[in-house]
Amino acid sequence: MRLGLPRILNLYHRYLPLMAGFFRALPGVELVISAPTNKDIVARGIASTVDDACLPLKVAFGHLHELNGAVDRIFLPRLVSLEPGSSMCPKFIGLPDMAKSCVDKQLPLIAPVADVNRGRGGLLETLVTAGKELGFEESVIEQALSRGERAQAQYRADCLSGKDPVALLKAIETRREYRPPKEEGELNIRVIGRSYLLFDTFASLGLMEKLRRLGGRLLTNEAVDHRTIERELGRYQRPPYWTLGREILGAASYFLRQADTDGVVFVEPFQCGPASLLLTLVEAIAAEHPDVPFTALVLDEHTGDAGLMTRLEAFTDMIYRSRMHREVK
Amino acid sequence: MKLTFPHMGNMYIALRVLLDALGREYIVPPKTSKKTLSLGVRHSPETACLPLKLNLGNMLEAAETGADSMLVIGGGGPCRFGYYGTVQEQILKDLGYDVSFYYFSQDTREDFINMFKTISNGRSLLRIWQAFKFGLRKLAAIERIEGLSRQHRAFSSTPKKATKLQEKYLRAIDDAGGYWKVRRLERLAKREYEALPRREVTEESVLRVGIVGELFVVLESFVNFEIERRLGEMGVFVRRPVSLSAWLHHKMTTGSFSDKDDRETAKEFAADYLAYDAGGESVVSVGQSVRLAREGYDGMVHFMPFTCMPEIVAQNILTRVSEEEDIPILTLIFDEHTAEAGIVTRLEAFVDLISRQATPL
Repeated sequence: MRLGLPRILNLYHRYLPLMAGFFRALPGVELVISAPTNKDIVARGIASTVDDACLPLKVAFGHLHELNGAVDRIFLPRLVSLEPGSSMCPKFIGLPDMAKSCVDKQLPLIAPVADVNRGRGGLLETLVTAGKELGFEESVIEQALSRGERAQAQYRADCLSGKDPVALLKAIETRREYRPPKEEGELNIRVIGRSYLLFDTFASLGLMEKLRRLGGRLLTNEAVDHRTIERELGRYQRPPYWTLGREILGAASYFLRQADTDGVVFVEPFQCGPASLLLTLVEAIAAEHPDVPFTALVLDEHTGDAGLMTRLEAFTDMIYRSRMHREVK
Repeated sequence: MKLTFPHMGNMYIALRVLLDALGREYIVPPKTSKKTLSLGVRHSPETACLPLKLNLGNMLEAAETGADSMLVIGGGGPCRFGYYGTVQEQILKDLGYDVSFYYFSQDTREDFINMFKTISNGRSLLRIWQAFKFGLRKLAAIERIEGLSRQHRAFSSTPKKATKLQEKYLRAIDDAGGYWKVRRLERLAKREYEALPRREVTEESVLRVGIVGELFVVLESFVNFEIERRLGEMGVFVRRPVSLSAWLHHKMTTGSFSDKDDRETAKEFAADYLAYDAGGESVVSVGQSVRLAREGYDGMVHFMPFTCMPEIVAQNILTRVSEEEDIPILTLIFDEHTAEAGIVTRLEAFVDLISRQATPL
């Protein structure tokens, strides 16, 4: 039994440890993860969705095409709300339905609902449902689940300790040792954005690698713990209601106020609804800290490599210059 | 405290009743215009959706004439609409305006009642509730008149008269001081509409088109270039299962108004295509398209603002609905660059297409 997990959104770019830990522990299940995003995947994704979808959604459809026909079932839960009081964006909610419309009506999806706000259980419950749908007994599911949970907790702890999430995910996927990125400079650059764009090397045009080559020592919002995020959001009378939006705003607020931050890069996919509004709030915090270089980048499938490189170079130049200023003072 | 509020269709008529009852000083922002649009666009995030930009424009125009307190709807989600206020508040602050925001929260009924208490000006909750209900009654009356317009435009030989009547009664209802007056206006309107001369057509030969989509764009004729009227004047019967009062009922109640609203019906029809409410009007857009297709409508027009998240979900699914339910669906996307001529051309082509399908050679 081949079970497909698309390399998309937070399914892979955050919850891979949980997913892999769980499905690999189910006897007889072979976990198949779609190939890393490439030109072909993006092209197929673009061709099968409406023009105005955001880049991550287009990429997602490409990956589903990739898995369709190559596996027996595809795990694609409907993520509505993962924690009380917040919500995923509409595109996450409608994803399984859109996939059936855009990719293939017969797509063999396992698509349980995670909606804690309406008492439907969270991500873990979607795995339990999937396990049942695949015909496993509760005791087997329980065991698999605890393996997944342990792996996820370990990943989270590693992220918080400053390890590179991309390398961590790769280690889990290939079952090899964690190998930290080779090049690491001395500029404390903080990258704020959605893991599924930042960690997708093809879709983000290697933004993280580029920054490292330019001398960055990177942390992303994955390295900020939940408590800190909530504390930062406490500054707002009406914090955002999007799960990832909350993280992004909280992490931006935290990093911009940290004394050791050399610069902050805010990355959003073109057409990302929540990001389009949150940028206004993030820019307001950045304006309060004019000594911290800040830049916002919008990426889509038309973004050119050279254009991105130029902007990142300009950004790191700005950091060096602001350092010089401080030293002169 | 000088209150104001952003426009959404005819909402101002209901809010006027409410604020009068509260004895509050308020300003109704000038009707949404090109000036509103350019003001709003200048100061809004570039890829924010159009309603945010227009509403910011409304606020700026009202602030120019002295408004200092904004009444907005907040909370809810997952669509951006519930977060407009927070962003607009930040933008106005950055521009140097000293304004306060009051949020009608969509989250719980308690929040909603608390909001009333904040702006109550010492009036009793009962009094406020009565005023609010009367405001809703006015909206319902206006929607009934709009319904008459849609009906009679399609069958009348003088469709432009229907539009004139609609404008006349909208003003009259806005001015009306009591329930009996509103009822009388409704009766009068019905009589006047029925007196319009009919053209020589049978019920069956008239093309029928449904309008669905994101609420704000559907309601704001400035944004959608009065497509409803244009279709009517082309002799098309239009049905629009999206309305302000239905939306307000949905937002404000946990089922106390009506046992089963249009939204629930839409959900049932949408079930095969969109099994979960993805926010905004997504499930209504899908469900009503399925429903009207099965009722034999000739086509659907689907409105959405550029980058609208829930309607992008709907749009992706409507392609499948169109195929499987065999109904042509035209999606029109609106932003500050949308030109009237482009929209009208596409609309005319669409009507040509469906009329050719309706009468095969």
